[in-house]
Amino acid sequence: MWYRPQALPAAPRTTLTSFATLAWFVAMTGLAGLLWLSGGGEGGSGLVPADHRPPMGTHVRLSLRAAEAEAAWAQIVDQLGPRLPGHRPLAPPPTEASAWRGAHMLYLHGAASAATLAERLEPTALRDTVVGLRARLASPLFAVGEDDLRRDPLGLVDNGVRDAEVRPFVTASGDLMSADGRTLLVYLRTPMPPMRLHAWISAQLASRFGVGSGIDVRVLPITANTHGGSRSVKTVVDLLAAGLAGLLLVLALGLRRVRTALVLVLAIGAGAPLVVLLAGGMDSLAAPLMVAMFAVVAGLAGPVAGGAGVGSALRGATALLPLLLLPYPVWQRWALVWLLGVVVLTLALRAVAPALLRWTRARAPGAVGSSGRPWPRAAALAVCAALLAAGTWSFGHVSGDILVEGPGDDGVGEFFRPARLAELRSVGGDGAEALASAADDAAELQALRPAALVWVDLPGALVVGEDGCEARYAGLKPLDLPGRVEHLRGLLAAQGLRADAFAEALRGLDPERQPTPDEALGGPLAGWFVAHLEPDDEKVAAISRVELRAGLDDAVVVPAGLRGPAVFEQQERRARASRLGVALVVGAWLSAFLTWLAARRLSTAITAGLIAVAAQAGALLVAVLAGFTAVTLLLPPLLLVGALAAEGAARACRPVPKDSRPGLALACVLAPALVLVASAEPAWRGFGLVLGCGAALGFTLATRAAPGLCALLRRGEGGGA
Amino acid sequence: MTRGVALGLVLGTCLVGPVLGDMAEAPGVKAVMDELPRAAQRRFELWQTPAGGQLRARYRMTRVSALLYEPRVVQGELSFTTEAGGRLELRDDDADGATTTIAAGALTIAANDARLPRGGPAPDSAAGRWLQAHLLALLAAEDGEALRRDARVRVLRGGVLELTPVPGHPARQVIRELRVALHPASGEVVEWVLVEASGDVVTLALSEHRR
Repeated sequence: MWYRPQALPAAPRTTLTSFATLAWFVAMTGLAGLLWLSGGGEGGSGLVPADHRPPMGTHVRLSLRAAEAEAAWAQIVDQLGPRLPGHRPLAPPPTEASAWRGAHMLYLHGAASAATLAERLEPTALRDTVVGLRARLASPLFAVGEDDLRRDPLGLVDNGVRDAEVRPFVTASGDLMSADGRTLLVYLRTPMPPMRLHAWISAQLASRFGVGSGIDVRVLPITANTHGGSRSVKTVVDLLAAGLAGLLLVLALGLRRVRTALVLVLAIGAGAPLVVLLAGGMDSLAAPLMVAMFAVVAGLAGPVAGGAGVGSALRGATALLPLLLLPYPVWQRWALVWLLGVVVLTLALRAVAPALLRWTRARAPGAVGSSGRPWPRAAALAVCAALLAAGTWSFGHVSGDILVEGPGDDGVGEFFRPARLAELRSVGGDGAEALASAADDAAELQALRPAALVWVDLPGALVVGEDGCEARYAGLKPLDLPGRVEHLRGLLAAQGLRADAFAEALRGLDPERQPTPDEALGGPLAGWFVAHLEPDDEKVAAISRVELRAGLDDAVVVPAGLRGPAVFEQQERRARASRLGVALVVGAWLSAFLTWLAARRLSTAITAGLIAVAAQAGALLVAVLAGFTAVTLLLPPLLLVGALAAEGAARACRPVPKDSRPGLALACVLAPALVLVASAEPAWRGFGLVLGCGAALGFTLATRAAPGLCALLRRGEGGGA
Repeated sequence: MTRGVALGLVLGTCLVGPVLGDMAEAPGVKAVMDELPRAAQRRFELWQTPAGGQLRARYRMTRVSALLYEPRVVQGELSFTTEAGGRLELRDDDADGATTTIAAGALTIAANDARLPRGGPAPDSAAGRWLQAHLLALLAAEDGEALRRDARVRVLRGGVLELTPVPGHPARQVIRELRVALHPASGEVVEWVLVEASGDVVTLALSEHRR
């Protein structure tokens, strides 16, 4: 019989706390299940502010892989794109665009100045040009040796401009094609899920083009998170589990009570779904913060922190608040998530763990070891000064480059890097006004080529505003272009060349043909222009897209309205040192202020602040020396290091509670930090290195240097009084 | 106590493992190369008959173009060498002709009359690269793989080899096809016909080959 009445009196009593504990675990388990089922385990707001995020959309990459699809490939290249939902051309259709440029060569970017035109259209110059043309026609390679002869026989358009405009290769639908002609890139602005889109495209290939295999289709969504990591949810969960396992190991060894350690880790881990819910998801950026949160909360647990007061918990919970001052959405969110998470987990730990400990009949932890002797005051001061100097040196070696390594670059990189795309919205009352505004912006963007821009898709480059057209027309009028065109016709005929074959070019020399926005919206490229117009509140915006060159010089000034991760990255590079400085100084001040609130002693507060800054400076030095220079990713661990160091310093400046274990609290941070260092994600490794080294350094400074500094400052306080 | 610690160690190590594991990359899909038909193989064998190296020959070029009232006909001297990646020069005899040079991957077309304005190297283009690479490979008569690269090969009536840029290749915007006739005994190129997308047809007949 399993029921043994005599065992009942020995069991713990069922109390309200027991019910609350049970309810806590049930609620958290249910929440975890819901999050898993709803797919809420991934995604976040990213480091890039909303207005600099790349546009939502999808790139589709089709690659010709086998001979059986070759017959239909040319047809697919020209016709597939417009059959797909939300298709947007990445460039104007080449034939129409070339004809448009030719017809308006006197007005568009790259056109010769009035003086150059006058020189080139002199009778002698015209004769030499036509004779040279006939001579070069004798070359069998003339077709590939000349630019578009029929449209510009006189070479009036700047070659450099024209060459840049034809790359990468453009299909009739305005999609892009690789140099070997075997890869096609299509851009779709559609909310359709990738799996469904893939099925749709495969069905189109089979039904419309009769291709069942031989073409590799890859759907590459442009994600809003451009941050340098693409770890899956499973990897993130693995990291969290490994972090908890590390904590378990450390607590079991430190407390010498396996059941107690298990209870503590269980109580902390159970709160994870709540933190995920608060954070709005869990991506590769947030995962190390979550692991660090476990570590900090474990350090605040009763058996580790002993009788540590509210001050300790507050310092831990407010550690990331300075992130609110910075423009990174994910860090802003985590500043609050961290505050709430640490408070909730600490409260839950304090409420749940005792009940669990009673149930499991875990024994009380063993005795606490004593700490070592503090350093002399002069040595403490010297070490802090050296660390601050090293930190100042490290300031000049941080970067923000990791921000814009997009996960989709692998598939699209041969055409452009999606994470380096930037958009400029030129707003006007209607489409024509928006295009006129885009023309002004395009002139500004064209000036940045080729030093700053690699690829452009500028509707404004093919139009000129009414004012610009009028000014140009006034400059061209004295040249008597109709008369020169007649003379050119005669010269061509004299050399055996058909003037009619150059009709397009000769029409282009007509100054009455102007590429105004109204003409553009009624011309052969109207569809392409309209595809670049979007409603903007009650107005219309013309969208210009460019790809910024990697490693863009800080001195390059891009137009103010240009938005994109790469633009934000450039701003970041300019402001990185100041942002890092602001965050660290505010973090140290906050730690000092909270210490002062708890201790009511200025010397303790100053010591805590100083030790925090010194530990951060040392951690930054280690990160820079190890090659982890992405300051944006290092900010949270640096702030945590500061808060932990300040906490240690505050403890060192007052009588230590008998039951606290600062060494074990440090180990609780070191174990997850080691797990992070051992991971495959560079951002996680950098986080773990800074957190681990910084926490160890902070602990050393707090236990060895802080007592001396505190005593020194107290003597100053006493002297002052 | 010892068992408890051991349990903790086991738990810790088994969970750290997955984080350490690197994600394996999916193997890339290897492009499947199509095989040449038997007739083309025989033409390739004939084409590879001449000893490689330098070649000099006389040529007669005829261009039929919508730009011209009459076909343009010129004669000149072709010189080709495989040194330095291949160099080809086509020098027209007459002063009103031109000299075409492919050297170090660059194409230059200059009028023979020195008084006329001289342009620089031709702008880089997919069609230019395709045609230069295939002409150099054709005259070198060695590397069949280079001749087939980015090209579809067919054998027409009379044993004429036809090279076409592969479907979708940007060179197709300028070049429709390159037809090559070989001497049935020596395997030397005796004529090439370039059909351009614009409709122009350029015929270059070679004679007096000297290797």
